[in-house]
Amino acid sequence: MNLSAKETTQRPNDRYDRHRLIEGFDQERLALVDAIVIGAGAVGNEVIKNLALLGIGRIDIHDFDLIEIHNLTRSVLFHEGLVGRSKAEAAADACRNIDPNVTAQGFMGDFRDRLSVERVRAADAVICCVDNHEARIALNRLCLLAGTPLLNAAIDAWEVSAEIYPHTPTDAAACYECWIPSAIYESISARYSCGGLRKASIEQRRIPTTTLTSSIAGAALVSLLLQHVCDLPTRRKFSVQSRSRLLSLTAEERMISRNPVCPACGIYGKLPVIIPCRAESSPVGIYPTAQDEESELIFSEPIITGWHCSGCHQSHALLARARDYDTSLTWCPECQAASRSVSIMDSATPSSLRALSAGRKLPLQFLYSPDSRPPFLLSLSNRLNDDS
Amino acid sequence: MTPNNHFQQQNNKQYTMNIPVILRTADQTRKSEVNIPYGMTGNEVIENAVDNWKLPKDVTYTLVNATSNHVLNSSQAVSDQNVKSGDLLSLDNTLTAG
Ligand SMILES: [Zn+2]
Ligand SMILES: [Zn+2]
Repeated sequence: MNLSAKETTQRPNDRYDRHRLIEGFDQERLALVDAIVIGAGAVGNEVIKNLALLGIGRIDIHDFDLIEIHNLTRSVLFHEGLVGRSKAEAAADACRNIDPNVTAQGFMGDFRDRLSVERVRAADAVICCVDNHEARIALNRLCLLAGTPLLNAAIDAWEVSAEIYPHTPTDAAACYECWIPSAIYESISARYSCGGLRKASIEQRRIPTTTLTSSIAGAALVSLLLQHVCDLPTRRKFSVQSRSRLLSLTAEERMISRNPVCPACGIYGKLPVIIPCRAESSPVGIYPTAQDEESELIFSEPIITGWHCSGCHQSHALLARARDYDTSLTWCPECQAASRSVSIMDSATPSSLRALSAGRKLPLQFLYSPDSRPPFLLSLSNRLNDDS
Repeated sequence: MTPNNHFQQQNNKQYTMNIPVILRTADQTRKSEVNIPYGMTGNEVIENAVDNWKLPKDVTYTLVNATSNHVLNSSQAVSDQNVKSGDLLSLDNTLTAG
C-alpha cells in the first residue's frame, strides 16, 4: 500500500480528517472564510448546512421571514418545534449545533436595512438564495460596489441554475445584470405605479420546489465558493452559470459574457472609496470639493420626499424609504380620492440633498458618487442602525 | 410547428443578411431551423418563438447558445454575440425560486 503524504499526517480526533485527504482542500483557509448568506429558504438551508459541515469560519445569515409549516419539506435545518421562529436565527443556531467552531449569526430583517457595503467588502463572498429577481438585482449592485464575489442560484421543481460572478475589477467579468432578460425588469416595474410606489395587493406567484433541486443548488454554490477561496485550478475567473436538469439528469456550464450596455456594472463596478459617515456627523457636510458639488449622488434605494394633494392642496414633507409604502399613500382622506402625488427620488446633487434632509436623518445605507474622481461612496450604515 | 424560415422583421429595422441556426425549447419538444436576421435582438427571437410555437407567455425565457455554451443577452443583437451559422440556440426558462 502506498500512503500519500496527506494520509500520513492524520491528526487524532480531527473533525476535518476526511477533508484533509482532498487535493487542494485547505481546511485552515476554510476556517477563515467569511460568507454572507441572503435567504434561509430551501436553497439557503442547503447552502448554510454545507458551509457549517465544511467548517466555514464565519456565516452571516439574513432573512426577514418566519418559519412556516410548508417550509419544512425543504429545510434540513428546521423542524416543527421551530415554526414561528426567525429563519435567520434558527439557521444560525443550527450551524452552531453542526459545528461549534463555526461563528454563525442570524439577522432577521431585510438585508437592505442591515447589510452595509463595508460589511460586504470585508466578506469573501455573498451567497444569494433569495426567491425574487428584485433582491438579486439589489445584491448584485451591492457586491459590485464592494468588489465581492456573488454566488447566486435559482430553482424550480426539476431544474437548477447556479452562478458565480467573481466581481474582480481586473478580470472584467460579467455581472448578474449582464444577462438577465429585459422581461425581468418589466415584471419588476409592473409591480410599481408610474410614480414608483409599490402597487398594493400584488402577490408573487408561488413556484413549486423540492429538496431535490435545492440540494443540488446548495452543492453547486458551495462548490463554486470552495474552488474560489482555496484558489483551486478550476476556480472560475469569469462568470459562469451551471444548469442542471433532474428529469434528464443532465448538466452543463455556460459562460456569461460582459454586456457593454449592462445597466449595472458600468455604474456600480467602479470599486469606490468607502467613506464611513459617523452617526453624529451630517452626511452632506462632508463633501469637500466643487467638483463633487456638481456630481449626482445615487441613493442606495429610492426615498419618498413628500406628497401634494391636487384636490385640497395640502402638502406634507417626508423622508422615508419608498419600499415601506405602497400606492395607498396617494389616497387623500379629505378629498376621498387618490389625489395625492408622491415625490420619490433615487439620486440628487449634494446641494439639493442638503436642502432636502435639512438636518434630518436620511433613511439610506449609502450615497454613491460614481462620477467623482475617484468614485466614492458615503456609507450611512452607522446612522441607520444606531437608533432607528 | 412548421419551420419558420424567415423570422418576422420587427420595428421596421433593415436586415440585410441572416444567420441560419437551429432553435429549440430546452425540453426539446420544439425544434426548427430558422434564419435570424442580422441585428435582431434575443428578445425578438424569443417573441417570435413564443408566438410561433404558442409557448406559455407567463414564463420568462433566456436564449442560450447550446453550441458554444454561452448565455445570450436578450436586449443585444444575436448577431453581435458570436452566434455562428448552424449553432443550436435553446430557449430556457429563467428560474426564480430560491
Ligand atoms: Zn453587468
Ligand atoms: Zn386632498
